[in-house]
Amino acid sequence: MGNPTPELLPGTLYLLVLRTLAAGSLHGYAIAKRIKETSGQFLQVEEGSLYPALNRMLVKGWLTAEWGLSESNRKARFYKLTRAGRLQLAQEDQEFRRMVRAIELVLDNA
Amino acid sequence: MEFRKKFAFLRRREEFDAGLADEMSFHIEERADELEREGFSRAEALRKARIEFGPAARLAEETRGEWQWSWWEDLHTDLRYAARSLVREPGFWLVAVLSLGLGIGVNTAIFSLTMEALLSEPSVRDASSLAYVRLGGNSHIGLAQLQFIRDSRAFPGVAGLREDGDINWRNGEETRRLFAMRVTDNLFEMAGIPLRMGRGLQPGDVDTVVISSRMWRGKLASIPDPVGRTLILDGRPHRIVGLLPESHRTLFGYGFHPDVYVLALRADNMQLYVRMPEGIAPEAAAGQIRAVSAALDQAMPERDFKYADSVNFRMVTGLARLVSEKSISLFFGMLMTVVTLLLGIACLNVSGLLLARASSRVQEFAVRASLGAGRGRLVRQMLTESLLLALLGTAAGLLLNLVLTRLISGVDLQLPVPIVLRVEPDWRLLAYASAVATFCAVVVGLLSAWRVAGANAGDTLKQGEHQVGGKLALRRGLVIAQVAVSVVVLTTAVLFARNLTESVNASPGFDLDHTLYVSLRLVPENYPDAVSRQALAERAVAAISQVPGVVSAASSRMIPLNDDSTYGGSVRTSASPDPKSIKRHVNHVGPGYFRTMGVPLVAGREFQERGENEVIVNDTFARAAFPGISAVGQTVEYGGGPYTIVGVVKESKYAWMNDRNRAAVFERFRMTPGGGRNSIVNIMVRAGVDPETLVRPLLQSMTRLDGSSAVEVKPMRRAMGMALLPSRIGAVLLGFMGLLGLALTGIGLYGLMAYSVARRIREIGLRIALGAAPGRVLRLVFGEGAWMVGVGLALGLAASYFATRPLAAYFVEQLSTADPFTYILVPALMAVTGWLACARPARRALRVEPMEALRYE
Repeated sequence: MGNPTPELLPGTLYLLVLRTLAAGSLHGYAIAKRIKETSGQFLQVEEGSLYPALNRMLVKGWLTAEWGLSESNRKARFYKLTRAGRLQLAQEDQEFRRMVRAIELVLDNA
Repeated sequence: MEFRKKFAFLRRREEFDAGLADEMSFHIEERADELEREGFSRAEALRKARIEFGPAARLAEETRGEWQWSWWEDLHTDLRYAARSLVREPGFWLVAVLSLGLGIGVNTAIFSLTMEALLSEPSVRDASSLAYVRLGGNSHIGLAQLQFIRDSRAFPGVAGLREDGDINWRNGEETRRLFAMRVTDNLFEMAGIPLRMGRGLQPGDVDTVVISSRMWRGKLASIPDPVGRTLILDGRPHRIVGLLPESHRTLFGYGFHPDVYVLALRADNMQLYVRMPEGIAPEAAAGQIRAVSAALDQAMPERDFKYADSVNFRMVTGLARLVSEKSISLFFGMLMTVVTLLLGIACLNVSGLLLARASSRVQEFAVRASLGAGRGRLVRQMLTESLLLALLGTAAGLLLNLVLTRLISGVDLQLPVPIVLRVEPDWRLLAYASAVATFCAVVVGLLSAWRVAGANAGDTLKQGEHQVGGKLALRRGLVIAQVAVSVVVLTTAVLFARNLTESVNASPGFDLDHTLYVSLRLVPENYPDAVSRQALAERAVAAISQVPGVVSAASSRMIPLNDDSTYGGSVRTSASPDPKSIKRHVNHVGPGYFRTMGVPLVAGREFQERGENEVIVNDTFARAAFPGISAVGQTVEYGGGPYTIVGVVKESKYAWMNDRNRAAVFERFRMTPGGGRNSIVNIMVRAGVDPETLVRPLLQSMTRLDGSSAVEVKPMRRAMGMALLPSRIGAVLLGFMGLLGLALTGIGLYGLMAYSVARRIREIGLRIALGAAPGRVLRLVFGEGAWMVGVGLALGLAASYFATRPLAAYFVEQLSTADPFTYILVPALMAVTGWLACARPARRALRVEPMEALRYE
């Protein structure tokens, strides 16, 4: 497709989705769009990985899904964070930041 | 948590797929909206959005994958694959499932029957600690002796029962003979026999009775509230205190099903049942029984034997039961062997079919292998298919079993004794059937998987199916084995069928067509002593002789072909100082018995009105006891005596049609006091007219003589149920199995021939193109079939010749196991089956279009 989309760091897709949903429930298309917008058009989530990831998180119990109507008045599936999802977000957020700080330290000082 | 969700997913898969599709199209439409806003046309926007989205099927697959177990998914694929082949090749599956189903169904039915007849657990509490005890080699002991053992308190429980007690039931104008189990007053409590209603017999009971559900349903027409009602038994009102459940099985076993349980009479001899102390070792138990027997010998010495000399006991449940009944267990052993052979044929059939399928799928598997399927994956798929086959086969088999067992249970055995075999499917059966099916699946599955795995993918793809040769030999071997095994089964079946026809036509050595029996069961209390009984018997013979159409009548203790008694032990004769051991049938008969029965006298005379210490023997006995000299006038001594031999008669059939070389001794008929057999007067009648027309007049004459006695009259031709039973059972069971084996073998042969023709279609086409006449083509097909059947037949007949030899004991004298008729019929049947199996493939071969066949390249 020729989009110069950078590869997401492994494991960060879950974190991004969880963080995006922390504000409230969204459907799949909106999640992808929100991530793209908030990253300043930098991060583009592939549909091919978004939907399997959403379903994986459903299986894990971090999300629940419900059918509802979109702004365009179409039937859409809305994903919502569960308690377990919030805990997971907090944990992954913390871990990710520690990891980034550690990598920065190495990059700055080595 | 995850597991639960994944499991729930299994049931909502369709819903999920639909939802995912909706979600994906929503995503595309939202994106298209956005693109439209950027200035694209709606159609262009949708197209672009779809391309961006990528292949929907793969995304769906991956998303779904998050919810699935991979092994489950693989199984699902394999099963789907198998199911598709089920639709594509219904013929293969039908034949394979049918083969397995028949094999398993018949197996399980025979298994149930065997279990029920030989190992059925009696309806008691804790059967594993109950033992049947024989003292002094006797099957029964007196009530006084039993009481002595009970009083010794050596065992937690001691009780007795007598299985052949009859009792007369007066129902309005009619007196009928019921089969009664006579028991000690503590048997119900000691054995813990469950009841459906009311209670068991108890100490202190007077004139009480427990009835069976069968009696209640049948003879009492299910009257409401049977408990508390009264039956007139042996002239006295008996109160019904309990009703046994439908599933009641007696301690005696073998399906014997009495109408009523009543208390034992003082003179009854009883089987001794003992409750063993908990956890006692068999040796310790035997020691304890010996000690009690020794005490019994002290207290109540017997003239002829000592109780402690021969003591044995067996538990009332489990395999130990069989040891004492050798001929029955032998018959069932043979049955199980035949059934296993049948299952073998069925398995060979299925193996053959699967092998054929495997070789026609070699290419398919080669393609899959070259596309990256691992060998394990391929083998797994083959195994899945065989397991599915086994599952369907077991299901079909269990269904067949349900039908068969119902049929067996419904069969009226027409015996003089009530035998009810309650054959029903149970867990043992299920375990057995699934073991058999799994065995089949593994063997068959591995065989075909091995076959496929053995093929080299590259070579196979280059050569194509038609050149993958050489392995047909294995299948040919299987079919030859099948023919051979089925010939053995068929030979056995035909021999049993021949035995039945021979038995029916054979002469029992007495006149079957002009004789009847009259059986009078008198009420013991009405005739307390031998004198009054003897008087009644004589009056009965006299009354019968007066009935018009009767030529002669004579009393007899046994009704030939219905009763039996065998004595062993030594016989002292006047011809030799050494006693001889002669096993002999013993009967007591009145004057004129042999003339009445039409048994020829070889020498001497019959009993006359008066005479003491006389016996008549048969020629077999005479030959054994007095070789080379005339027996008449000699004396014999055994138990009592000496007795003078006044006559020698020809040997005839006494208990079974397959009796042969049975020595027999006839003593003078005399009534004795007591219950059981002693209260029965049997009178044999010779008719000058059709015996059937005498039944009513004889019944009336006996009712006039004594209304309280139960009377039974039957022409001897109709009274052969017992004697013909083994022949009948054998002929029916084995005839059925023989046909089954033949059918299965035919199917197997057909499968192979059809496959072989399909493989050689190019060759046949070429031959036809080069001008081969139809006769030559036919010879090609039939030649191959005939060759296999021929080899199988030769092997099978040779095996049968030896394998059937032990069966001679079950057959009438005239029938040899090398019966020429059988050895002509079996090859003929096999040849016809082979011809039928080859007919369709041969037709197919004749219709081969040369051009079409060559186009297969």
